[in-house]
Amino acid sequence: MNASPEATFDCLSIIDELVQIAGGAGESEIANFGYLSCLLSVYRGAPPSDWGYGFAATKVAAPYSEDLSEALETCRLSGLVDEGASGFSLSSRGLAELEGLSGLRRFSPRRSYLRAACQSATAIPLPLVTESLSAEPQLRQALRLASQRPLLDEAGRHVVLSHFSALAQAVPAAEDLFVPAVVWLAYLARQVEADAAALSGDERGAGQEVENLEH
Amino acid sequence: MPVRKLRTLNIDPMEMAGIAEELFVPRIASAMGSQGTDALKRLLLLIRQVHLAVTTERVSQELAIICALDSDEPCLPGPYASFAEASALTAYFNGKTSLTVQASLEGIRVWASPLERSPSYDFVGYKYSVPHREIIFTPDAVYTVPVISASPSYFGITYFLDLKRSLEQYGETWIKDSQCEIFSAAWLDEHRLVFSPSPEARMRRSLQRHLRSGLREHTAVTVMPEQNINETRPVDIKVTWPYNRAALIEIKWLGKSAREGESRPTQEHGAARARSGASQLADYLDLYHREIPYEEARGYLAVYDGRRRNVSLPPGRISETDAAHYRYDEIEYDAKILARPDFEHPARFFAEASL
Repeated sequence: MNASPEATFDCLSIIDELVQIAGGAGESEIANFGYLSCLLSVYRGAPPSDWGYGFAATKVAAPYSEDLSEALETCRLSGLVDEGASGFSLSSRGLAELEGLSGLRRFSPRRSYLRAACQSATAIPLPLVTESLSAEPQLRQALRLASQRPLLDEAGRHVVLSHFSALAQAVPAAEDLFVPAVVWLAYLARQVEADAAALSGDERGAGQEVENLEH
Repeated sequence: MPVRKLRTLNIDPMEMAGIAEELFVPRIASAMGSQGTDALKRLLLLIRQVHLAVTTERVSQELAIICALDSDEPCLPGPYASFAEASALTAYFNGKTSLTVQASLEGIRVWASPLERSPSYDFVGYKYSVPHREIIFTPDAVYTVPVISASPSYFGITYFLDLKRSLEQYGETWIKDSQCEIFSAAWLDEHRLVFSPSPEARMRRSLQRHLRSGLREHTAVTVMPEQNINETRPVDIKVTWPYNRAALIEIKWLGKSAREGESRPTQEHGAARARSGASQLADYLDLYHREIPYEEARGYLAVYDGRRRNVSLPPGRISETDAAHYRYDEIEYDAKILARPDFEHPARFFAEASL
C-alpha cells in the first residue's frame, strides 16, 4: 500500500477534528468529510484535480476514496491511529505527525477546507451531515443509477457548480467557508426530506421525475 | 432495479436563500462578522462537548453556555469551578441545579446556577431549558434551533432515550401477552398465574435479547448480563455505548412462584419488592458514580408484574376480575429516588393471564 501524502494528511486532520466533536471518527465519516472538503475547495474555485486524489460514488450514494481508505489503513498499521469503541482517534505519535505535516506549505491550503467541513458537524448533527451529503447531485445520480461512478468528473462538476453559484448568492458576504458549508448541507437535508416524502407517496404530484444528468 | 422518484437535481436558489435567512449560522455570521462567526464555532464545539459529558436526561433545570467575542471576564458573579476540558462535567455536575458554562482562555468556567442576566460584553450563547427548548442567543437577538423529531436536543445524543423507548416497546410487544418465548417459559401453568421457581434468569435473558436487537443501530453498543458493580453486587444487565454512556438495568418480578404440584410458593413478591429494587439500584448508582465518576451512568428498573388476586396452589383457574386486579396498579416509589437525575422512572411490564 502506498497512500498519497494528501490523503494521509486529510485522514489525520479529519480524525483529529471529529474526536473533538463526537469523541471519534468512523471510516465512512472520514470519506464523507474528505469529500465535503474537496467540494469546498471547488466552491472556492479550485479544479477538482488539484485535490490530490479522487472520489467515487458507491451504489448506496456514499462517497468513497481508495486513497483515503489506504491512508487510514496505513496510519492504523503504523500506530498513528488507534481504534476504540467510539471509532478512530489519533495516538500521541499521530498527533505529532499531524503537527509536523501541518507545518508544511504543501498542506496549508487544504487545512481551511478540512476544518470548515468538519466544523459543519457542530452546527448540524453528525448523522444528518452524512445523510445530507447523499443528496449531493452526483451522489443522487449514483443512487438513481445504482452504479459506482467517479465523482467530480466534468459533467458532475458542472452540476455542483450550479449549486455553488446559488450558494454564493445566498451567503454573499460569508468569508468563513463554515457558513456556506452549513447552508448547503441544510439545503441538501431538505432535499432528503422531500425525497423521503415523495418516495412514501405523500408528495404525489409535487415531485418531478429525476432528470438524467447525461441529458 | 426499483424506480426511484427523486425531486429534480436542479438547484432552487429561492429555497437556498430562504435557508440562509432562517438558519442561525448564516444569520449570526451576517450580524456579527468574522469575530462573531469564530465565537459561534467555539460555542458550537463546546455545546457538543458539554452534551457528550452530560446527558439531556440529567439536566433538570437549565443549561447555559457562553462564548465571549473578545473578553475573558466571568459571565456570572460569584465563585466558579475551572476545568481544562468539558469532559470533567460528567463527574462535577450533580444534575440537581442549573448549569452555566463559559469558554475561557484556559478551558471552561462552571457555575452550578442559572445565567440570570446576559453578560455586558459581546457574546454568543446557548440555552437548553426543560422541557426541551433550545435557543442560540446574542446580546441583540434570539435564534431558534431546529427541532429533530423524537429527540430531546438538536445537539445531544439520544442513547438513553432510545433505551427507554426500547424498554417500553419490549413491555407492550413481548411481555404483555408473553409473546417472547424465553419469557413465556418462565410461567408454571398454561393460564400464566404463577411463575416457575427463579424466573428472573429467563426474564434477564429475554430482555437482554430484546435490547441487543433493539439497539443494534447504535454503533459499538454492548449489552451484558450480570455485570459486577463490585465484588458482591452484580447488576442484572449493563448496556454500554461509545464515549462515556452506561445504563444499569435492575430486574425485579412480582407475583408468586412455585414448583409443579406443590401447594406452597417458593417465593411471593408484592409491590415492596419493586420498591426495594429501586433502593438497591440507587445504591448501585451511588457506588458506580464513586468508582467510575467519568462515566455518565443511568439506572433503569424493569419490573415484571405477574400479580394475580386469589390464586391458590397448585394454580387452577381464576376470574377475569382477579386476573386483571393489578393491571393498572401502579407502584409508588420513594419520591427521593424518583427525583434523582440519574434514575429513569421504573418500567412495569404487566404480564396478562391467559384465561
